[in-house]
Amino acid sequence: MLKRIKPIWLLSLLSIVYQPVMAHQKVSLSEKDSIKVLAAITYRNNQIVESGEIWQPQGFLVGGEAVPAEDGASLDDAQLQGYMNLNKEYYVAAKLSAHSHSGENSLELENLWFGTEFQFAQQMFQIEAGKISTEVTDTINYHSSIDIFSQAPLSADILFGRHFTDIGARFALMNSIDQLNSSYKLGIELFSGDNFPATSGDGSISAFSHLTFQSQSFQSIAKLWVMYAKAEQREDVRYSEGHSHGVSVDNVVQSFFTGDTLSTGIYLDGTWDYEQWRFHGEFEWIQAQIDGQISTTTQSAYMDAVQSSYRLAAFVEREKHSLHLEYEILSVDNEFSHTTETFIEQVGLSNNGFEPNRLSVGWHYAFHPDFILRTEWMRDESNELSQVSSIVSLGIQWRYNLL
Amino acid sequence: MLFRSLGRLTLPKLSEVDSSLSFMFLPLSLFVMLFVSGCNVSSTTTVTSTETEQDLRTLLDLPDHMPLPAIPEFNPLTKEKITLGRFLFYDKQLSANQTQSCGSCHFQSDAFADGISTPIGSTGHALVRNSQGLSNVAYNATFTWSNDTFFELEDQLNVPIRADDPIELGVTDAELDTVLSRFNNDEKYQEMFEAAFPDSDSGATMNKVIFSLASFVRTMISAKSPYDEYLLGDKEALTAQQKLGFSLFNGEKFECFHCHTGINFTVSYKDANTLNDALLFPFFNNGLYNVNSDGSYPAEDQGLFDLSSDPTDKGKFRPPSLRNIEFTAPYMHDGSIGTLREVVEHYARGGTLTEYGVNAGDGKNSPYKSALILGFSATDEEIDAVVSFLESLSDYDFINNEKFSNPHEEN
Ligand code: HEC
Ligand code: HEC
Repeated sequence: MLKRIKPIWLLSLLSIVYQPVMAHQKVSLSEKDSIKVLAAITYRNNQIVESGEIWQPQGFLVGGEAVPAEDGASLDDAQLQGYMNLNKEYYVAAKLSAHSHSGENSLELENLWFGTEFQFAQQMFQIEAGKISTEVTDTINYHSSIDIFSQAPLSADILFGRHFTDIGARFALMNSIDQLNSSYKLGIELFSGDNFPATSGDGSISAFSHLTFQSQSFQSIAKLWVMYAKAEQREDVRYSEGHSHGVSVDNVVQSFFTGDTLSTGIYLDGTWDYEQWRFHGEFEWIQAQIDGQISTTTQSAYMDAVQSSYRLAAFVEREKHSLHLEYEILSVDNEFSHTTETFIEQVGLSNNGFEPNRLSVGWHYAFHPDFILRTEWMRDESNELSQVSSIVSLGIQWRYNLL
Repeated sequence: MLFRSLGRLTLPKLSEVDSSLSFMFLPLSLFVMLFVSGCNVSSTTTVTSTETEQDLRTLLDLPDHMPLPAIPEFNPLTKEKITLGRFLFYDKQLSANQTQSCGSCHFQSDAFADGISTPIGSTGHALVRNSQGLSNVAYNATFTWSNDTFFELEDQLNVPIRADDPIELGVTDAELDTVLSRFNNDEKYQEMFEAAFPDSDSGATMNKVIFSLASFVRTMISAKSPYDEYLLGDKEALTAQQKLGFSLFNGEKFECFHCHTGINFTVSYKDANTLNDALLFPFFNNGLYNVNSDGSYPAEDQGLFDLSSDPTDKGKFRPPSLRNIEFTAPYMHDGSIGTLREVVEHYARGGTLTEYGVNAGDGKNSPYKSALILGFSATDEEIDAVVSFLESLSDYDFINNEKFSNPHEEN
């Protein structure tokens, strides 16, 4: 066990984050109208699971859109982001995005929301509503065109079905404490439940606190959050097209989850600028406590599980070049009752001694103001024990401001 | 620990520390180290069970991979009831004219079916339905070929014993006392009834008979077939042909799994963990008949329709478990299909064609046929594979196990 964790020490010493090269689409009332296009295209020499096989990290309940990239070239992600400020009274923002997997393209209006800010009792408040993403942590708003690596973090894929988007509303209190060079944002979010691990209509709710500290050369962000999601007969529909949903010879049986997921997260980062250099380190811990029932068309079981993920990332940047590192490891503590071990195996939830983990290393070269060349190497062991794949990829991120 | 470290990291005074490096490195790496070493990053899965569950498993001699069947609270399972039930099951004194027992239509060697299309009751009445095999009956959501009101074995068992149309064992009201007095006058039965129902001194009653029979029937669990071995991890337990059959069975061409799924190969399933609101009582018309081309079944048995009078219920039957199916020919509610191969051909055709006679019609075109029975073209090899897979559900331990054999023959 210890052996597997060792790389963490190295990373924690390197510890230092990063202001994503292209930030997630977070907006405020003080911005100007804008339209941006973003895209990421990547070529990979390998894939995590063979074509036609299902990525199903053993012992974890997965869902949403968590499907690993296939080998060959792919348009990972393309986005059109728009922001319109209406007389400094309120704003409208939207994101149209296209993904391609298995050779199929899908176009989606991922976000469209309204927001405003106002002052009350000497405090600054923000209200946003519409089809929004969550602000608890950016990790679960993954997009290849915005984020560092060309594949979503394991923690986002396994715990939240990749990227979070849902109909909902956010209410936040924002302030800065100038004498401490700090600012904070406290908020609550309410969602209809379209995003994994919730199911539509059953809802999820979150509360977060973000604290930013900034001095001339140093910046640090700390985030603490909880999210509670309810699911009713949730089904893993990631591969719903063209597969047999029975007990086929070696596949996992189709199952449904009904119950609650309480996720808690802590995120910490620090970025330090020194002359031409920038150092960044980040640590993130997310834990999902799952309590419910897992059932197939016939049998069922009570489930009480704790899934934890640890993510460490770091980078060093100098002018147009940056070197990135990320290590993730997940573990699960599954407890079942009123059932048999065979059933738990059939639904793919038996896991003793397997911790999905991934190490990614990347080099970015911003060879043009609009382009970044992204070279990566990834060692992944996320599907089952000892099924290790090593993937080398090469791609570009493109960003252009139309307005 | 967590919050303290967090607090330390964001303590305002630290903002004055000029070396941002120390601000950054110390708490963060300390935090990470504490955190990661404090947490055991290792995965575990445990399946827990209560003592009551374990006792019940022992009593049923239940293989680990089988879920616990639902035992109704009003009739807790005991060894004594099981023993009494076994004696009664094979005792012809349980029929009014002492010519038949349950075992007359339910033979262990046939997985408790009887090898004929439709049986004859104790007084010579011909039954319209095929005798059902009794493997894993305890997991059925409803009982008999088609009845959505029999939720417990105790409800259903009244029928073979007490019914007068058609007569099976013929213990009608008029015969009840005679039959019970046979057991009350038998010393061995007196003892067994007393042991099984220690809180009651009323001797043999029909209720006690039924409760004991139900208890015995619940122990008839079949889970030692090659398929079970395969499920438990012996990948060699199924032949290559059977594995192919299994994936065809579960594939979108044959579609068998929609109705014959799960550990007992039927969607009509219930176990100790099934929530009442999740219970399904599925009944389907699988295209066996289409009399007068209006979706009717032969007049003597139209399935659920005979209870509900709703035309869309014509020909609706419970999908039976397919465990030990090799031993329970002939097939279907009326025993009209002789072999497993013909059953699979029936499905491949999308229904059965009855060319002549009063029941003529093509089941394939029945308006009430389930949408899952569409017919498909399959090669001989594919059909053979599915048949061969069905045969992997044969449990020789079940049909030879002494626990279920006739105890009267031992003496
Ligand atoms: C004359 C033959 C005959 C006798 C005697 C008989 N059965 Fe049956 N049994 C049948 C038939 C036919 C069915 C199907 C009935 C139906 O579908 O309506 C059946 C169905 C059943 C079922 C339902 C199985 C299921 O899967 O739902 C059980 C349990 C059962 N019998 C047990 C018994 C017991 C116990 C006895 C003795 C008390 C008994 N049978 C006596 C012929 C018989
Ligand atoms: C729509 C649901 C449904 C599907 C799909 C289905 N069955 Fe059935 N099956 C039934 C029903 C209902 C019966 C009982 C019908 C009757 O008795 O009239 C039955 C009966 C049987 C029997 C006879 C059981 C006995 O005890 O006599 C066999 C064998 C069988 N099915 C095998 C299959 C196979 C193999 C497939 C796939 C090719 C299949 N079934 C697909 C519903 C279905």
